[in-house]
Amino acid sequence: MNGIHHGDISFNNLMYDSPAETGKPVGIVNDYDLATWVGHSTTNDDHTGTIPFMAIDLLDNGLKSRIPRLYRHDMESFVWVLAYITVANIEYKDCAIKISPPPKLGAWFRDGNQFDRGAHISAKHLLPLEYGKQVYDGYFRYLRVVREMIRYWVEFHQPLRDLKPILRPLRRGLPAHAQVKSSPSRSEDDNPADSLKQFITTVEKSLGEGGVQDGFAEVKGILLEAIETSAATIETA
Amino acid sequence: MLHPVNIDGTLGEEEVGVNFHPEDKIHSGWSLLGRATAVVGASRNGDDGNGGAEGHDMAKDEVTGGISGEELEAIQQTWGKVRAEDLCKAGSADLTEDNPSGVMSDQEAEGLRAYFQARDAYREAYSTIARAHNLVLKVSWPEASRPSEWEIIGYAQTLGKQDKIIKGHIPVVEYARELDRYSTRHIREFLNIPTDITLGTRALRLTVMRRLRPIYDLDEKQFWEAFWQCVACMNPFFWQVPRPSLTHPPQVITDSG
Repeated sequence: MNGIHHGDISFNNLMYDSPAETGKPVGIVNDYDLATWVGHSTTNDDHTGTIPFMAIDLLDNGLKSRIPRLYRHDMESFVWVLAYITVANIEYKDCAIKISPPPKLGAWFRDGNQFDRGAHISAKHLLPLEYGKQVYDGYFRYLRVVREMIRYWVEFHQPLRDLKPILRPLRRGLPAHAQVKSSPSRSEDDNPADSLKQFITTVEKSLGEGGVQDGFAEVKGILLEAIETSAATIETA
Repeated sequence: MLHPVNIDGTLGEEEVGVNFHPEDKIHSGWSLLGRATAVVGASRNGDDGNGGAEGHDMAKDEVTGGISGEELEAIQQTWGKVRAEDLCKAGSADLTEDNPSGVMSDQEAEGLRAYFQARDAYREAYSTIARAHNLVLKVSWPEASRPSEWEIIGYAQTLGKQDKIIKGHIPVVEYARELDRYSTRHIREFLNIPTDITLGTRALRLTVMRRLRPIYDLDEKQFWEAFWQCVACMNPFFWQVPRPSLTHPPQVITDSG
């Protein structure tokens, strides 16, 4: 598929602007430094990105397998960014804004060497369980949906059976809905339409009430329409 | 001196001047993965003269950012409510006998008030500075063979003319320049160091972009909406049209000055 992979979706690169006409903030994806043209001669499979927000399978397989960059890697990064911003400590001081991870999730941001990599990946695997305890007050209404989004990606990479030994002690005492559900079926790696559809379904299922749909509903419509248009174009071509 | 960037990502002919304000620390430099990138505040030549210094002073004077007792009470009520309801719904409520409803303690309320005060002060000060320095300069040394950021953004801008979901959700590059004089190839040649062509070369690229603000500074609801706009903008189906033929190596304007 032609197009651009951003390749570095991180909390620093999601920004906003308030256009003078409306004054309403709009989200902007910034920093195309690491973006790659798919199919372009300079494009390579370098595993670029900001480690805390990189897709688990890009990190997990290391150099053993050269996984091609896929659209779903960017999509997964969005979820890690969302998870981070909703749990992060945000401090304002004078003219500066500082964002930092909460202390208990330190391993998520440990990216020193190969030994830290294991701790880092485990931290990501355990995040669906830790997330509820860490989320910042203002984001409580999004807690459920964000947690399901994180869970979607964790289970996407690691089927439930592999996680059971780790999860069993942790699951004791958790309410029923906080327990791990059956693993979603793994979508075709190079089929962005399937990745996107499955992801949208996951988000939609876990959306609660109270304004949580705002923002998502419109985007969902646009994305589904785009998938259909794209499918129709491919059929006629 | 820089060159204006056309809508399709090519560089314009004429040169323009841009004032830079390194004292504007809001966009500090960062370095990740060996990328050396620095961002400083900037404004159009002659727009505001000494806007930088004035901006800082004004910010200090104007900021009061107090929260009245009534407001605090309202915040407490809302947040207390949100906390109890949503926590119970989410199943991870930390409701104890001491705190059956999940309403915050005085200490927590005080912390919250300090947080909101600091946030208001920051936003006020930021707006003042951003009005004076509405551009930022990004200095980077990427591989010269990589398509430049302004080309990619130019491509996105071209697509954005048709797609409302891209339009307005990608950054705007105002001016740019690649300085061959500071490329590692040029320096190696100058020092007479044998060049291994497989190593490639790094180029100094200057990009002036419209100033943006970090998404995590938005209020929760606005953040949620802006976040989904970002997700939508990055969906692959809008990026499917054939890639325009790019000029590679990217346009190099020899720096003689």
